[in-house]
Amino acid sequence: MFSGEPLTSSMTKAGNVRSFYLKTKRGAIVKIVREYYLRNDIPCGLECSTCPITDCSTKLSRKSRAQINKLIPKAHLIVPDVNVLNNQLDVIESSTFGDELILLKTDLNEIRSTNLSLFKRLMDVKGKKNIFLFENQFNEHTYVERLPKETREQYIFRLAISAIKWYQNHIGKKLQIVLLVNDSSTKAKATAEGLTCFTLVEYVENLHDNVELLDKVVRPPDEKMEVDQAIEKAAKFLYPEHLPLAIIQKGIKEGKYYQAKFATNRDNYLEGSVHITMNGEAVRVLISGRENMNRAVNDDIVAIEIAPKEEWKSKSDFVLTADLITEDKDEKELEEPSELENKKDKKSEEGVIKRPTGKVVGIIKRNWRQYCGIIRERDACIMKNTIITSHFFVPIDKRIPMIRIETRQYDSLKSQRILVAIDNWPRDSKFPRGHYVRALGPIGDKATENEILLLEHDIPHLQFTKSVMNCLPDPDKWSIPPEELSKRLDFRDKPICSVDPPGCTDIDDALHCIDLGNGTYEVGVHIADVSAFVKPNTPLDQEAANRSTTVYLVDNRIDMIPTVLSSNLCSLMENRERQTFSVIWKLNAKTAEVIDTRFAKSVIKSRAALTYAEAQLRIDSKDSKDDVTQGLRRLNALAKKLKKKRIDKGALVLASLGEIKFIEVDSETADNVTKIESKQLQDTNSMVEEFMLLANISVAEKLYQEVPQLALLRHHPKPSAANFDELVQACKSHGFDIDVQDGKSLAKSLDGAKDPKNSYLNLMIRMITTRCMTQAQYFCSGKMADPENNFLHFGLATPIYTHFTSPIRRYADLIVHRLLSHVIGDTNLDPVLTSSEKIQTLCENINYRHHQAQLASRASIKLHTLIYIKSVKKPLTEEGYILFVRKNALQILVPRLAFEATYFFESLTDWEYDGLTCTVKYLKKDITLRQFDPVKIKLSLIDKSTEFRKGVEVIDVQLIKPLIESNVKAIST
Amino acid sequence: MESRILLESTSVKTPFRIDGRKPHEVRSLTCRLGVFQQADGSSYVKLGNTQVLATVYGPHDTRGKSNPEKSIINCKFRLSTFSKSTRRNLHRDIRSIEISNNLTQVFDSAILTELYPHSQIDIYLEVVQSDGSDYAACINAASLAIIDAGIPIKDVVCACSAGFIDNQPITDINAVEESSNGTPILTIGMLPKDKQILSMESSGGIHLDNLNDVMDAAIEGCKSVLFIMKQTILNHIQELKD
Repeated sequence: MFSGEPLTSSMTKAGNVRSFYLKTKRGAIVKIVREYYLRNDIPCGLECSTCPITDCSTKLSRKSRAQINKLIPKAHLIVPDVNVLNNQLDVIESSTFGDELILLKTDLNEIRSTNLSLFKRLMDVKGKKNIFLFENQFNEHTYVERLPKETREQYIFRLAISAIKWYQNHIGKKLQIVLLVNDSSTKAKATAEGLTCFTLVEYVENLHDNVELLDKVVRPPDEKMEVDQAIEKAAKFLYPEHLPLAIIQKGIKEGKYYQAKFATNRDNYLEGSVHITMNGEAVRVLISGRENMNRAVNDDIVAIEIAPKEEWKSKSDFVLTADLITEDKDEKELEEPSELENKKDKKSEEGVIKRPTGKVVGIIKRNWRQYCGIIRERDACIMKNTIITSHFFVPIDKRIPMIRIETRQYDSLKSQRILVAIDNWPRDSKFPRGHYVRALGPIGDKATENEILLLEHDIPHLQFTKSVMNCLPDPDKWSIPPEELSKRLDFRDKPICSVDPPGCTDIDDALHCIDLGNGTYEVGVHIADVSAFVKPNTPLDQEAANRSTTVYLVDNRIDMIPTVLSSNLCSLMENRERQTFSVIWKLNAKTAEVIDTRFAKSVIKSRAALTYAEAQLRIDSKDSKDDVTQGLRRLNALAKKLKKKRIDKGALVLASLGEIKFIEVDSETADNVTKIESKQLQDTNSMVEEFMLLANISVAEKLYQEVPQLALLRHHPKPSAANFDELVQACKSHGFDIDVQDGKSLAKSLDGAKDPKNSYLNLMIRMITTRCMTQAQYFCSGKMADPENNFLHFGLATPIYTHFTSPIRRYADLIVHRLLSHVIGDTNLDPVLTSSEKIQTLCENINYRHHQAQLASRASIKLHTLIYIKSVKKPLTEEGYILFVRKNALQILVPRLAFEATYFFESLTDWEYDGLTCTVKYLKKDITLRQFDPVKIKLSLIDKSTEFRKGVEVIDVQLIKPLIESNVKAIST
Repeated sequence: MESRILLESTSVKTPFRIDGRKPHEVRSLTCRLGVFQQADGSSYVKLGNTQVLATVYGPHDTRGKSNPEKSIINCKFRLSTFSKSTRRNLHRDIRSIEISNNLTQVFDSAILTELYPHSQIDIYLEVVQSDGSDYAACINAASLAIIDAGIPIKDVVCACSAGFIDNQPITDINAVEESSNGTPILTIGMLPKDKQILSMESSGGIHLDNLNDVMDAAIEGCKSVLFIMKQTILNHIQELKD
């Protein structure tokens, strides 16, 4: 019998109403009426007889925090106020601060509405610690109404006070509730209300175990830091004031200011740029000099003002690194480059287009993160005599300025890599102020350096959590479930094999080719069906989505999905039955034209897992006539035809320097990297590549046809002609004309740019071409207008493209698998994938992670090059080529090491730079160096410990042929 | 608190919605019967901040066409100009016409129309204040007004809405939840005794996998609503007796 139930009785007063006025975007004022319900069933988080039992996992203990603080020895619970949460999260996060904490929901809401990234971090902390979230906003005892004319801050504070009063009453005398605030004025207010309240600084100072914690405390800006005498003297406002947000917003509306993301120049930390749209055109605005940058740090969202036209400059060709500058010399150095630049500007660069310049007038949003780096060493003698707690922190990221921190652990930290966060940047301080977060490990230690590499590139690299691992099947007992076997196409008897680089354990593709007679071949590409294991919305899926890609470092691989899947259950190993997603074509054997395409879930049993060399050997050896080899031969022949077609259409062959491999000879000492081998390219490489491209294109077409709003595609926009300026100019000086009209003419002219005397010339030109291009990106088809032009993949010269073939290491492929699986009617579509907005959000994360992964692998190679040079123990003499000529440096490519060294001119007056012909002249010896010229350089390792950056080993570059004597160190970038 | 995120994201597992309710809780419901003397039957329903007045006239002679087999049901739904935060004339609103038609169908099948051939029953619904789930509130109000008018009806028709936010079905959607981007809303009107669904109306896309959960949430909501409605009717009858 259907009988009704009463409405829940724990909602006390029915229908409270709160009303307020809001201004809409159009400026109209609207009265908003909201109903809210106060309840009496909200738990307090303790073992308690009066509160309802909750299913909440956090339980606070009644003996919490006993005997840890001198101020209150007895057991107590602390409630941080919103300012403490805003500023002191590093303290709260650290393990010595104690585990138990009460968080008020109203404070949390405030943080979420003001600072989303902080909110996310707070949630992470909440997951790790025993933090109880008290829902004070819906509790009938703790809710107070906002008074007329009360500010938001006052109201939130009053809510907090009301909550704490209730708590104290509720839990009795044995346990104390302590409010932690950030400044003494708030403390006075709270004490007047009769609460136990301390400032965080007080509380931490009186903790028994506080050495590390004290360093993490953020001092409020009004509290003077211990400052060096020299700087004290010069105390004056160094920077113009930032405009208030209201004025900035007005200015942006009027077109006076522009909002943009600030990017510091990697080579010159006193120069930055922003990309804005001015008069409908994308413009890059240069911001140079400390004053114009006005305390903007890389990645901040800033408001800028464009300078008048006569002040516009050309891009500085200087390579400037912070290493060259010490604190005292600082001021002078700041002037020097710009003066020099001005002089040269007038002399030689009349033909060069001037770029708009501007200055930062305000900061809209700080995007500070935590930075890795080291403490700058101080003179040992000063350290002996006095206790100085103020130190400079030097970040590894050259785009970040030095940060002043306070620490009492100087002696133990000076040999460590540490993590530091910026707190604030007052107008009278040249450098931002920050605080120590944690130590990462000793300088120079390979594990430490690797971790830094991952941290700096924001790569999620922690071990997979338990909840993720719980999603995995047991690899020993697992076999393909019978219901899957019956659903899938059975390809187990086909001559399928995989071809991969040696040592590859995550095999995600396999191929087969059968002669069907009457001049047609059946070609199948079989991709590991990761979606069979990674189900939507599981913890495993969420983790994979966050990681988005597997990151390959020289000595390590950061997997996107756990190894059980990547190297076993998904990997298409030899003689194992595996689930796959197949693309099967019928191809014309002669012309390699596609007659028919099919997509299907399948089961395969790979006959052979080959390396490129093995596959090549099989193709070449005339004796072997087995199915697999025959298939390989057919595939190889087809691939050549496909490649020719592709190149005829204008696909570019863009070389990067041949990948190199570090081989560790002595495996016991992992630090010894002793050999460098470059990877060999073979026919079979491009054979596999061709079929992967074909599969990706086929899938992209199918997806766009079936789900035009939801397809996840990859495009590579055609770069604008202006992007190629550098390339065209470089080639012109060598007498080559580069036609950048379209892909086809570009490919053709690149092929023509050859010099019999210089075999690396073509490679270098191709490298520069690559740098002129924009990056390929994932996007959702429903979110991109004008499919004709915008879907284009310029590099591959195909109108539509996606990634389907590597789901083990790319999340995008997994999404494409799910979409395609829906399209062929195999599975229901996951709700997340039914909206193009959500797919686009996914794409943005994937794009970001991909970019970061690329940077990380490059950094890893550089780190290992350094270790290699170190292991050789004597200076290396290498053949190199000048890749770029700059005003104060040469960038030299060393092909054998796949390394780019930077040679800095010892004195700028000895060199004369000509931007038009890309040459520099060494005046003392009358030597002219041209771009692409071969040189011989000596590479050695210098320990710069005694200098500005201690513990940093850098690669020193010296020119040997032509010989330029030098006694000043140059630095690699 | 004015955040667009209505339920907490998955990282913060708190059980409360934006107005302090748990996912399955219906807003407070107040009903009254016989609020107007002129009409044959009338009712007032307040569901949270949504307030609806319903009046029923009839069965009376038709003007124009008549049906020799059963009574004609005529429903008119109207959002009053002052029902939302900005004053708007919603007289010819498409949504209003749609709701009117839906209501007509619901009560055409719920009322025992064959008892009154050649006649007409008019049901007028006026939303005095709108704060989400207007349609559900109207079904409930109309049902009470019909009972007040003494017109035979199969059962106390009750209705409730449900939606799906942050991977969780929620019952009785308010205006803030309704307006959040992409919230699917499903309103079920049913005959509780036979567990027959008379009307199921939805806007926004609901994934097939979640449909059952959302329907269950709405039906559970109907149960809660029914309890209050039955009590109101009993109280009203008691008052009439006294």
